Amino acid sequence: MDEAGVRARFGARLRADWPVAVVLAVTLALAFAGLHTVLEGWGWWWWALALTGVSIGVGLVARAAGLGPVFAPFASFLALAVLVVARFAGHTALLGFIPTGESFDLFRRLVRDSTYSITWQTVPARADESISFVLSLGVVVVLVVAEIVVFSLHAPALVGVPLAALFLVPTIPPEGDWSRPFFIATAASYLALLLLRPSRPGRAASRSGRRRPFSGRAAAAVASIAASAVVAGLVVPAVLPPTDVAVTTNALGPAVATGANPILRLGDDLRRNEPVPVLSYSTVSGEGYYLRLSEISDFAGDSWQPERPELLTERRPVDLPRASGLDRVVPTRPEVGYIHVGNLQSPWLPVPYPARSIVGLAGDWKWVPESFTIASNGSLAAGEDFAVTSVRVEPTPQQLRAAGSSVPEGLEKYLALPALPAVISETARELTGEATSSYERAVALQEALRRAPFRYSEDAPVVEGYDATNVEAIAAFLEARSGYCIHFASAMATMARVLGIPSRIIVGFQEGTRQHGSDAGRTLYEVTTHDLHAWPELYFDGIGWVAFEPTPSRGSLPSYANPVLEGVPAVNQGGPNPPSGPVEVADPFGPRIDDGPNAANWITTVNLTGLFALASIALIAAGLALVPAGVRALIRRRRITAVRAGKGRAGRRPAATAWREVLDTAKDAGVELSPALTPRAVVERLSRVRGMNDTAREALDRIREALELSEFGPPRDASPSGSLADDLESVIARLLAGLESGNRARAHLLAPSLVSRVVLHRRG
Amino acid sequence: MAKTTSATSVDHDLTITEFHDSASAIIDSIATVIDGKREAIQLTLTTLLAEGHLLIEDVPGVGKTMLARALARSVDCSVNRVQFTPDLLPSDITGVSVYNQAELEFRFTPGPVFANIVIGDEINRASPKTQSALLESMEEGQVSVDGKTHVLDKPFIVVATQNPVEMEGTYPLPEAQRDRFMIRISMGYPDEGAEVAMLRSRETSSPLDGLEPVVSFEQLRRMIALVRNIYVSPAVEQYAVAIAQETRRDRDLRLGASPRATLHLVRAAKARAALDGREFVIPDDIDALAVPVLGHRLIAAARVAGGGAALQASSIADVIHRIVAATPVPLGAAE
Repeated sequence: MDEAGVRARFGARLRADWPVAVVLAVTLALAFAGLHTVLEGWGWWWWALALTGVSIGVGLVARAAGLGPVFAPFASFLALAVLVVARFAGHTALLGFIPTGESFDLFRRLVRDSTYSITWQTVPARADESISFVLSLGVVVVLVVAEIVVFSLHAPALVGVPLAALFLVPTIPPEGDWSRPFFIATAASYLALLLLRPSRPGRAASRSGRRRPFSGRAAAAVASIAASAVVAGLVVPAVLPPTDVAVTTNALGPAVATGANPILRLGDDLRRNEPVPVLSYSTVSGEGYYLRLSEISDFAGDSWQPERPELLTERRPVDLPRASGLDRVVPTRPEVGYIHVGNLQSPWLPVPYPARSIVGLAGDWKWVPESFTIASNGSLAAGEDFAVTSVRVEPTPQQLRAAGSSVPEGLEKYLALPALPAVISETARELTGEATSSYERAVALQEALRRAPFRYSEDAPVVEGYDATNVEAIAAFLEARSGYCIHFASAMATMARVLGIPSRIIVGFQEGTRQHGSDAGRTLYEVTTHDLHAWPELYFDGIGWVAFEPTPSRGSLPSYANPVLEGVPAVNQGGPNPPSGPVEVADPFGPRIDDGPNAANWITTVNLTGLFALASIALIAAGLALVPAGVRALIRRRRITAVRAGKGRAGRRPAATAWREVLDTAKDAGVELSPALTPRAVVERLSRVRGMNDTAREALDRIREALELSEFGPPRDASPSGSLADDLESVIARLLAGLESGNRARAHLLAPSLVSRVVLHRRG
Repeated sequence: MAKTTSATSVDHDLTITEFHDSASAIIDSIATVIDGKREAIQLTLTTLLAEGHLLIEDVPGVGKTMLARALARSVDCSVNRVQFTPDLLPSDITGVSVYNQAELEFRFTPGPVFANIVIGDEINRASPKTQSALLESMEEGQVSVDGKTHVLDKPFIVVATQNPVEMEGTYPLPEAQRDRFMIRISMGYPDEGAEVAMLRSRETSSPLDGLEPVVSFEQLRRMIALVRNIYVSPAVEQYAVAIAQETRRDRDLRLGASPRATLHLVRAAKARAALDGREFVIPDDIDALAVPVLGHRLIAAARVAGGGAALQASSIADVIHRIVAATPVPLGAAE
């Protein structure tokens, strides 16, 4: 062919394809934008948009240049691959875009980092390099799939699948939400795409006379898809896990962990259920200790935020450094504990502070500097059985007092505070009164919180509406003076910061209950969900982090913070209501939790919420999987009803409608019937289908007879025919009855007749 | 439907059931002579009722003539038989004007073509000129001799038999003339049982002797009238046309179906529908008749194995089957 001819054909193809290509690009760009609910900023979207433009553009040109349905998407893919390699691994690639082994190593690292980044970031997450890379991979997959289904398979309706998947992504993180405006915009664009008919190379020209820009059947298909989308829009949010429930999952349950706030809604979990054993441990000294899970130290924003540990490979918890700030002069006692973790679905390992070495871990655990928590990106604490060497830090009151009020450098973040309501700082100063050192202030705060009028209550914060850890909630707590561990801990930590003492909140377990039995001669402690706890740790120069126990009637007071002991500042001044009567000191091994503190349910709920989240996702997946079945069942039902009423559907006569249903059911059942088969040939074929009995054969024959009469017989008025509908139902039942269970599931779930409907529409 | 009723008020008493009974009687009658060839018999009757002409093509001695004669015997109508030979003249068929000395004028003596059923035996042994004399009358329904036109009685059906063209002493029918036959059938050899039965029955006398007409002439005319009124839906017409058009487009065919072929196809389908006890034509009628009606009119492209004018019956049939199997049956059109 001469050059002019080639150019003319190129132009013709380009003109035929570009409207669909443009609408497709717009649809995809809108769908990608839907991710803005989980990703910060818009930089990532411009990148996705660039990829979209390149993919669609290259595909367009490739098809115009005569590359077939296989090679055109491949060309798009190559172009995308070059871009992705150039951006993420340009320095390792040959010529900047041909990936080398080094590039693939880099990619592997990026993918690994991304799972970490996704796990620990809250939404909206910052689209860092690793997330951008994974996002790019997803975008490439969606683009190539879109290219294939729209231009190679001529089934643009199928683009709906990756689009729907894109809108599901933001619903996976507990705090994520799908973007309704972009969903609607994408849906509209998608429907526009369906109304445009992609050209079929070769056929299009020769049969152009038959092509109509808009057919009634296509419109009906589009309308039904739109209706399904609306239904899905109503149903999907209803079955999604409520985000506030899933949040607690992240405290301990990593099933869908994405680094959310572990203390939010803790109260809900505290107010339920029976205790469940979480772990047991024994120590060489026979004494129990607090076991820490995670640290909450970020209070720069409006509420206390959990740590986002950076888990580095080399930080395996076999040999931890000395705890930060712990001076040699502070008395310490080495302790060895043997901890057996039960069903604790947590990415944090329960360990005492400060741990020095842990042996026997099965999972991939890393220690986190500063907080000294042990966390994992992937492993769960459940089932771990390990020995932990730690030190018991036992500073004397004198040492603590001597620490003064100076704050060493590098601890500024533990003093960060948002703008606080006056009541907090007022209360802090009021409670600490004349105390001069940080230590005295700390003890004063703790003691004030442990005494009347403060009291332990799991319900008050909810009833009063301050069940949270933001500044307003803390202020409300200080006024209501009623709450549970997290309120006391956050109030004390906040007030400590107000007073210039670095502080943080620790979530973990109190000692648990001493058991009568023993573990190889050592005293055994059992920790249940009742022992879930939160407490503050304050920093003292030269001593490091020191735990306090401000929650009334819970936990045990450390020796350095127990005012009945010698040297510890007695606190009887400055408080709003000086204590009357003896100070209640919780016996470490004595009865506790009398007033029903029920951290209990935290863990159980955590497990349940994890399960619930998984179940919800499974439910959504199942729901989506059931969409074809539902649509198919609806179509079938409406056809049968129409036939029974003596009407047809889609402008057909009743018998033709019944016949259409028979053919579709046969298709669902896996019987391929050529449209060139006459009704009698179809009957002959279907009569041999396993499952058909004589009754059904006769019924089928009656439908065939009615069809012939209505389609080929002299014109006459159709009369309502209940028997025709009965025959139809009987045939449908028998056609499906003979299927093996697997094929029957396929017939119902995939409903192949729907696909052919859509495809046939496209092919006109 | 007023037109139909008034136009055929006399003949239209026949119900489809009565039609079916009569047709069964004819078929059964012929079947006593021709064993095991029900399909051929059915097609023969279809041709008669659709007012077409039948071409029976097969090797000698398989009962072609017997079939034609059995049909003629079973229906109470006039029958003539012409044995075609190379020296047969056109006037031997149409008739001649003879000078009558007593009345001093030319008088037309009708030839054998003046009958309801004309059996033309071994039609391809006659010269083309003689063949065309017969074929002309087939199409026109009349005979012109010496400038005078003589109309043939209805119904008029020519049942021609011919030997395959490779046999000696044959003049193959040109395409234009083959096109005038509505249906072409082959007898095929009888199966073993039928052949044995035939030996027994022929021992004593010709089985034709025992045949009595089972349907009156008037009844036959009414049956034909009924076939004419069989309903053909637009969908079926469209289907027949689609098949015909596909034969013209198909790359394996050098010559496709003529419009006359489409007409014959639909008319034959009406007869088949009636024989089936139906008052309307369905696509199955078209499918079933596609090969008998179209087979002898199509010419395979040279590249098809066995290509050529007449050698290609089986490959032509394959092509037709393929086309029929690929043509969508129009169903579910909007009202």
